[in-house]
Amino acid sequence: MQKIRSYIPMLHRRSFMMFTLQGISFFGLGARLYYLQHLQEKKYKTLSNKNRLKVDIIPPKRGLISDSNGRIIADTKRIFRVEILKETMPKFEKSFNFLKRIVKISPEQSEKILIKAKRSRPYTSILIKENISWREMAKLQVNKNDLFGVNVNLGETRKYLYNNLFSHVVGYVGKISKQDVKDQDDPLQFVPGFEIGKSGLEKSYENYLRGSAGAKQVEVNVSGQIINEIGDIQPTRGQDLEISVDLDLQKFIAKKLSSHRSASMVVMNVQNGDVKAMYSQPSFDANIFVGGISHKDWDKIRTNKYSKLVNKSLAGQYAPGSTFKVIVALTALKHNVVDDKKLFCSGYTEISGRKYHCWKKTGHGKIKLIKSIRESCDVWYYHMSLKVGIDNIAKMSKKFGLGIKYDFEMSPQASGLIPTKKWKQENRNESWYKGDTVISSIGQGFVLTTPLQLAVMTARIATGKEVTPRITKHRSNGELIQNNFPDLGVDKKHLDIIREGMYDVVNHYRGTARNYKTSGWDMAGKTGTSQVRTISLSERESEEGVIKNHNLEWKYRDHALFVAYAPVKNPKYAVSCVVEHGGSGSGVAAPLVRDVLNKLYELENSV
Amino acid sequence: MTNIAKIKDIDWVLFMCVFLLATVGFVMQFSVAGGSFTPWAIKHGIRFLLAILLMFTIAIIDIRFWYKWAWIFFAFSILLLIYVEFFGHIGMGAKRWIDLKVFKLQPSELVKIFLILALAKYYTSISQYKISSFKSVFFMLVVLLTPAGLVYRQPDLGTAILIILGGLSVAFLAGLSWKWILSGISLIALVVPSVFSLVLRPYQQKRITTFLDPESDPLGKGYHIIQSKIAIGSGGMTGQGLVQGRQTQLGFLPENHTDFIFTVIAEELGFIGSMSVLLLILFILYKILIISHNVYSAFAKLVVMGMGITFFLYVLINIGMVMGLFPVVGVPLPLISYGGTVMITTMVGFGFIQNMWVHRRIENPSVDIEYY
Repeated sequence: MQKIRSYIPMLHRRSFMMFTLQGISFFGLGARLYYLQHLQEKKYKTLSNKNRLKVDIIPPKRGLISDSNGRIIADTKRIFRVEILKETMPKFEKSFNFLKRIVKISPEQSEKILIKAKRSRPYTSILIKENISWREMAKLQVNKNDLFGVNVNLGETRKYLYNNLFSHVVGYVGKISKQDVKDQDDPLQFVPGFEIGKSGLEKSYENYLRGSAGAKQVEVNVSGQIINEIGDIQPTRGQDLEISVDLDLQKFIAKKLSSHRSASMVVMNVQNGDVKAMYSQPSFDANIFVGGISHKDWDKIRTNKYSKLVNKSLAGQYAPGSTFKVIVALTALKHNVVDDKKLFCSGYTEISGRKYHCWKKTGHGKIKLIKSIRESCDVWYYHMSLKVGIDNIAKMSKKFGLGIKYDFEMSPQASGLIPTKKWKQENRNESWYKGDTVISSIGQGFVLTTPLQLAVMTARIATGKEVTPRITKHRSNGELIQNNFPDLGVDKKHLDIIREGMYDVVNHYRGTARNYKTSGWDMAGKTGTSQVRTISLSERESEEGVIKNHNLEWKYRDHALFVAYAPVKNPKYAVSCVVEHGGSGSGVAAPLVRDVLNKLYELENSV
Repeated sequence: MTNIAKIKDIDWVLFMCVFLLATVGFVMQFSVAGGSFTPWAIKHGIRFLLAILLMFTIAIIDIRFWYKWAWIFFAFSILLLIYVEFFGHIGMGAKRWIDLKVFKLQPSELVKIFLILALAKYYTSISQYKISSFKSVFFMLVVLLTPAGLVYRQPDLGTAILIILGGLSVAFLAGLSWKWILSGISLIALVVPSVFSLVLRPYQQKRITTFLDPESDPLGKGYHIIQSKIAIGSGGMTGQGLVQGRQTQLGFLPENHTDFIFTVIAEELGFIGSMSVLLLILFILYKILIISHNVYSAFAKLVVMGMGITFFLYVLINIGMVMGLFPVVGVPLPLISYGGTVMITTMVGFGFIQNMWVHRRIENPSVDIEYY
């Protein structure tokens, strides 16, 4: 602490220097003030007089969204918006009450407007109501003289032409909120009630669809009223977006799934990855979000038992059940452990002193690989999975697009889950047991996949290529870009064996989906029925046996799954279908996929 | 000294000047609202009265307490900064606040104050010959850049710059050698162009490019600068009178009750009015210089000048910004702009200045209170 004597004088010197610097800065500021306010006074006074010119921002027209055939699905429509300029109303409260008698405003809304009027900056327009009816419009015109300070402006808003058909894919727009204004310099954020994409493609393509603001210079009088329009910059309209989804197919699927409480389906073009249809049941009317949703509607939709708002194709995670077996079979082939002679299914097998049951109580008898796919024998997979181990199965799963997120245009995307030994140690703090491998081999246990992933898996099996999904149309000079996917690096002979098994599932007289052959072209598929409850030993051994699905409460019933591709030679489409708690894959999901592929054939050949 | 005696002893001239400045703020908030005490003027006044209490409280707490715990306070404010990084409230797109229910705490403001205390303690506790050693310059830079980096990440470029400038000024006052100062300045001159493209975020770059050429973005940020200059210029010598400013009252200028309040002063009160405000602030800075000369300990001198510089930087950047001399970085005008945080920071700063004055006769604040 002790300083030599010269330290304090040095401090004083430096302080004085600092103050001198401050003085000089202030001199600079003063000089600038003098320059602006005295020397340039005339120039700025004139500018200020001219500056009765007020700049009003004109929002651009939002880009349209159309289906794969150019049919518009998200349009814009013209609306009338009522706005007030509080400062120009002779008596605000009184005028507002009068206005309320003409334009219908809910008490909730009216409260909000009053708060806004109190808090907002002077001389800014406050939005009263969007989309007023013709009747209201006419009444406003009649009473124009008593409604000083009330302006009706022409605006535009989103209109979804197929109320709930594309709600999960296209998403919806809503009013911009404070949280949405992130580091944005776009003047459009200041437009009251400006609508931006809040979910789906409307959100991920926001910048593309939005366009840029125009401006209108208007002359205002002392009380801020517009007396003359002077000039304007036209807004640039947003770009239109074409998606790969086909309206007719989507319609057909929505109708088919409507009899189920909760389900989803994805149809993909295996050659270029285009998503031809993506539907999630139940859906909602996207139009209710436009212009603001009421609390009541919001609560209703948010708390829906069947997760209305969730795009299940992308964010729903399900145990894949037996559809996962194709991956295990491929792993077994790769590691050369398939030994067909030795396997026998007697309806169950014992591993480490525990019984693991096949779905078929009486057993499948002698079992070979192709038969194991065709008839979905569980025992074969119990044995094979133990020979290759979970980590090899996980590697193969990733190769076929399970347990990973894609570079896809939409969010949120669930990643699903493909467990490994390391994963369990890190997340459950438990070591991996043989039993874990056994139940994973039939797509149960920890294994989770999304319907989109299952469609990708099927597409990759069908083509042997690393197919990835996309949902918007990619053009270059007007020509659609064809995707050239890299090869997966899986032995073609192995893939052919799996394909033969999947062909037999539908076309062999003992296949699990033998009752659902397509017409026009043939399909290859795999059924899956994933359990959501544990079947106890006592239940299994009771006289009635395992309780039938239709006798169970809905939420305990099995998920029904089916994946397929068609046509078998030179495949074009892959489909995945999940019916939550729908029952069996062969009984519920397979016929749905069959119908969809039939419809697709019809659409392809009706041109 | 009793607490009452301490309060009697504070520099009342400085206090009255500060009071006067806040009164100007009150009047301008009244005017901006079109001649109404709501929504801003009343709140501004109440906040100022509460901030005065805070100022007195800080002023009477023993200087040795502040000296002793300077680093702890600094470390605490850094922890808060890290906390907002993860749990902070998002306001206008930036994470800056901790919600204390009663008001929102902005740790970046606390850091600014405690950084000055900590650096003042550091420089008065090491040997005078070591101030310019490589080790202590490095230490100073770490202490400075840690909070500045965290604040920059929020992102709040304006405050980050204020923190760096405030800290460097204390180092300068403490006697950093000219060799370091000159090489620092030349280094900055070399680095700035690359900083522009590498460190600044796109929206920050845009602010600077529109500053250089406001006409390039007349609807966005350039709009602020153009409108602000028109408003100031049209004020002329005597101004258009309170509540009469055309630009202000017709709502041409956004944010005019916060960052652009000086524009309103210039438009409505003219050159005479705005120059008076500048002179009042300059007088406050002069009072601060005099106080720093008359306190005994080097620590107190550094704290007084440091707090004064923080206040000065706010004023310089804000007024320079509204007159188109600096880019728009979002720095308010202390005591006049509407907003609780800057009011509290400023008054805490004045609290410390008064504290150093009241305890001016303590020559060595490092000796514990018990020994006196």
